[in-house]
Amino acid sequence: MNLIRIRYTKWFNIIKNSMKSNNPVFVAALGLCSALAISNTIQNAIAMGLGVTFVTMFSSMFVSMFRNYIPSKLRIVTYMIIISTFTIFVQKFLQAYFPSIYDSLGAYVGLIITNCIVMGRSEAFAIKNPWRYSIIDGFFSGMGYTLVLVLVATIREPLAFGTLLGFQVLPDDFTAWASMGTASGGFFVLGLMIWILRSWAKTYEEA
Amino acid sequence: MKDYIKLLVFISIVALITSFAFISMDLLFSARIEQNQNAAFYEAVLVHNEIEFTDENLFDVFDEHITTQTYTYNGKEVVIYSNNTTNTVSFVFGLFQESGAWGAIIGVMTVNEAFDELINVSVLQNEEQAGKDVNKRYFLDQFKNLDMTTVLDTTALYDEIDQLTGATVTSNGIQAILIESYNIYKDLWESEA
Repeated sequence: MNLIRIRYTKWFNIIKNSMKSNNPVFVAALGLCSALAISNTIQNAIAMGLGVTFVTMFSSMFVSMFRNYIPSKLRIVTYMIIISTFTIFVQKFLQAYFPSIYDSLGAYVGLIITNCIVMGRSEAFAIKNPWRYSIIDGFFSGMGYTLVLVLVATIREPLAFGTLLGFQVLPDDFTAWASMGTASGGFFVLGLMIWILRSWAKTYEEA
Repeated sequence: MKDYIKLLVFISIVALITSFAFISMDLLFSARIEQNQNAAFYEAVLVHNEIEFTDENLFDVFDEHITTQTYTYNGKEVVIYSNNTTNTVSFVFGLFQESGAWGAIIGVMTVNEAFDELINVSVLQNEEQAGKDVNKRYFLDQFKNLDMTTVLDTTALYDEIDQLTGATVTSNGIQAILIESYNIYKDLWESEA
């Protein structure tokens, strides 16, 4: 009985939309640039996913908290300033405490600023909803992105490097599939993944 | 008019808050970031010189085995690091004119005392995107034990090194950077001798 009630709560619908029916990567096709570039290892995918989640969550929260004070003419600029501030925080945090991850993600950490998921959630959700819902929406949108990235990386990393989370999982004589380590390999895996996940979630484009 | 004043006030408040946030972040992280950059540099020099160290004794081992000499080049202070035992010479490349396709490639280069053999190369800062693999060992290991007297012009060096796939300009860029830096530091080193 309680489970049936949960299905009709706003919380449940936000989580369901963010993770499944409105997943930023495999349904909305947002944030694909970084998804292709850094999903060649699971470590990079997790770090990038958590970075995007943090920025989406807090920028959505701030946009929502100050939505009544943000002039409509300046709303996009204000989103950008808020997003940039949190992105620079993530960038400096990684540079200070996880320098090797920062080096392997390269410019893509800074490019979180231009990630459409972050801006998209601010404009589509946070500007119209209270902060407590916006923070949940931001968190699960980021997690939806992270989930797809990690799934793609789980396929790419063993094929490209023979490893999984840095541990050797394929035989030493395995010939690495070099293109899987590049963005083109990511494109093929992500394309297949989007096809499979859309079929599973029954989210088809209308003709 | 009133609307414009409101916008101006809003922008001023946002500017103040973000400036405060950036200053706080800088105070919070800058010391740690600088320490990491120094550690990466010291580590590269010690690895090139095949000197063993741990994370704990990195700075002590560096001070014990490496001597620094400061020179001035075009009004800029540059440092040469020499191994007290083997006399191999390390220096930072990428500080001068040459660059990669888009931005700076900075790292450490180590040569023997006679300046005729390149012992090792490491990249510490890379702003290239298409050529982001320029810091990977599979590419940089090609420069190990290179006879510098035979590759003093870029064409000769290009023949020795396999370029990075899809990043020919970056690959050529780092080679031009290495030759430029090598020539500058060689002149400085010999001027002292």
